[in-house]
Amino acid sequence: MEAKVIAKQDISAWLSSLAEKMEVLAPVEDGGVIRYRPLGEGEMNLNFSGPAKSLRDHFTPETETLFRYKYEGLKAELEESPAEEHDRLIFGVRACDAAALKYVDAVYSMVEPRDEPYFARRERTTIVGLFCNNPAWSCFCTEVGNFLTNPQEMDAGLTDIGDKYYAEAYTAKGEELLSAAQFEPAGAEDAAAVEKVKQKALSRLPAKGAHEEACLSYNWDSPIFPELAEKCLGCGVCAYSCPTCHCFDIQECAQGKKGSRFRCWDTCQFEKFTLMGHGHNPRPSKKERTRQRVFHKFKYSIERYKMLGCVGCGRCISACPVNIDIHAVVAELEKPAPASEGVNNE
Amino acid sequence: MSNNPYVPQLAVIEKITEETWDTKTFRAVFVDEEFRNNFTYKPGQFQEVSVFGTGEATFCLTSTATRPGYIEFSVKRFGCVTKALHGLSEGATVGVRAPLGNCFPYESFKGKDLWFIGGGIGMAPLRSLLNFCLDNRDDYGTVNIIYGARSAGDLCFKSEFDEWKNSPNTNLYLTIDREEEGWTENVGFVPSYLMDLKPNPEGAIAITCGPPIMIKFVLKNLNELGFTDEQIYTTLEMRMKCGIGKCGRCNIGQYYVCTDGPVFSNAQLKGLPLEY
Repeated sequence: MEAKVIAKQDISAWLSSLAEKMEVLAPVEDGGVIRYRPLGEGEMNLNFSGPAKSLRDHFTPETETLFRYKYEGLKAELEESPAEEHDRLIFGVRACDAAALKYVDAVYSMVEPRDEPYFARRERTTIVGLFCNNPAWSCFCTEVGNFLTNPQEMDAGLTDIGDKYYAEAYTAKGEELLSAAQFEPAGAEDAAAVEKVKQKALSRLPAKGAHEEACLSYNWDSPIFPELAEKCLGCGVCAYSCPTCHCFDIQECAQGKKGSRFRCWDTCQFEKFTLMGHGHNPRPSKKERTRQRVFHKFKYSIERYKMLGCVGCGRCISACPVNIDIHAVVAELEKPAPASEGVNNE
Repeated sequence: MSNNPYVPQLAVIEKITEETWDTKTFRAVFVDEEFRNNFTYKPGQFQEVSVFGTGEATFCLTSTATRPGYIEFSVKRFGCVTKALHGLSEGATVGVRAPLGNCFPYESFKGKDLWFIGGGIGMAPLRSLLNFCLDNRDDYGTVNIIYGARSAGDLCFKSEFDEWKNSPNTNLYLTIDREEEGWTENVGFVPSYLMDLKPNPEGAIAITCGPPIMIKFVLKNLNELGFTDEQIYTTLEMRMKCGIGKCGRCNIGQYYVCTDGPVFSNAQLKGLPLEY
């Protein structure tokens, strides 16, 4: 399909017409914080380099009821939570956040059964991206997939070229969206403008590295992990701000004769994540836990899912209260190092 | 009913056996008749058991599908869910998500001499494979069971010892840590008893489960006896929640213990980071 353009002043009218058919979410500013929220919960703000939070809570809420039950004496009865049943469109999604969905899709579907509560939301959601013109200081998507030029999991993507947006469709759903009355075919000058904007954005980002190969020989015993352990507070903000982090806990909430089973976000950065009933903890200190986060994203994910578990959004870097920088950690690990001794070769 | 994989099936506790002072074996029957009749599983697989009002925890299936109609799980009292389970009476309703995980490669064990080496509650996952093999007795060579515990009172499955001993070509070797009045079997730790018994590794398979310290020395001693890493199997314990490879808790290297395990050969274990 040919590229389109839409005048900036027409975006509101276009989104309003979509909102008649489905829920529309967009980057909305509320109290100085930009998050993907339903339109109407604040002022839409598209001039940002990354919302404070990723899309994660729109697909796996921070706390999600899995089912409810009643019990009395010897008897118990289950009540299922009704599945989410409405179509949604999320507008203004950053390329890194859209790409993160591809990774989480793989995690939640590689082994049967699929995570149906996640896919119920995922399959009813349309993603319209907005590429970055001004990447933040912490961004490094160019090193983990180059999503500005290689968009993933977007139905359509927009680029700000001044007084209009340049729009491309990547799926049939996206094509249908861009056939709305507010769009018109892009001209040669629009294509030139988008190219210029992209090159400028890319020039602000680090050069592409070859993590996919380098990560397979990361040094298990790298001295960087004891160092990180000294620094890290174990607060977990890196995981909670991460668009690809997907680990959760399953817990119980019961009162009287009723209860519910729910899941909530959890992270390998917490000591209790792997602590077993009899007291043994396979990852007892922050040295093992900080290593787990880096190795899981950069090494284990390549081995298991054939893709990196990091999309370079930089949130963990800007959110960390003690300035731990995963990008710098990875750079350190990719310096030539002695062979791993951490594998049990007795 | 549901395609939500986190929703359990209801099951009724039909029988509770007190194995030791802190361990009980629960026999449960699925309430849904169709599910019950179609339910099957393989030795080595596990389940998530819900106690409504308290939570869900992971237990191996200690029974075998060759004895259909029910499932069994043995529970040592440790944390919230195990305590709540111990407080249940026969007839109580629980939730079960099963079967989960891989299994022992029992097809490849056919024709081999089997050495089951268990310690304490670690006998529970071995019992599933053991009774499966005894129910398909002609498929396997000799069956040898080394089972140890701290004291005679800490041995589980005592009611089945006679059945095991009296099966054809089957030997039961019991051991406890310290001398006790009336104890006529071996005294000593499982790894050293294994060295006394000196199993011949030729055409043999060793399957072990028990406390981490026991497993560590059993694996070492088996290698010393000439067992290759491909002849040794164990079943790993990791903290789990979802049981279906999603929640990330039991991740070791590129593997998830809940779906790639819990059964691993020693050869596979040696390729894993030392985080179990």
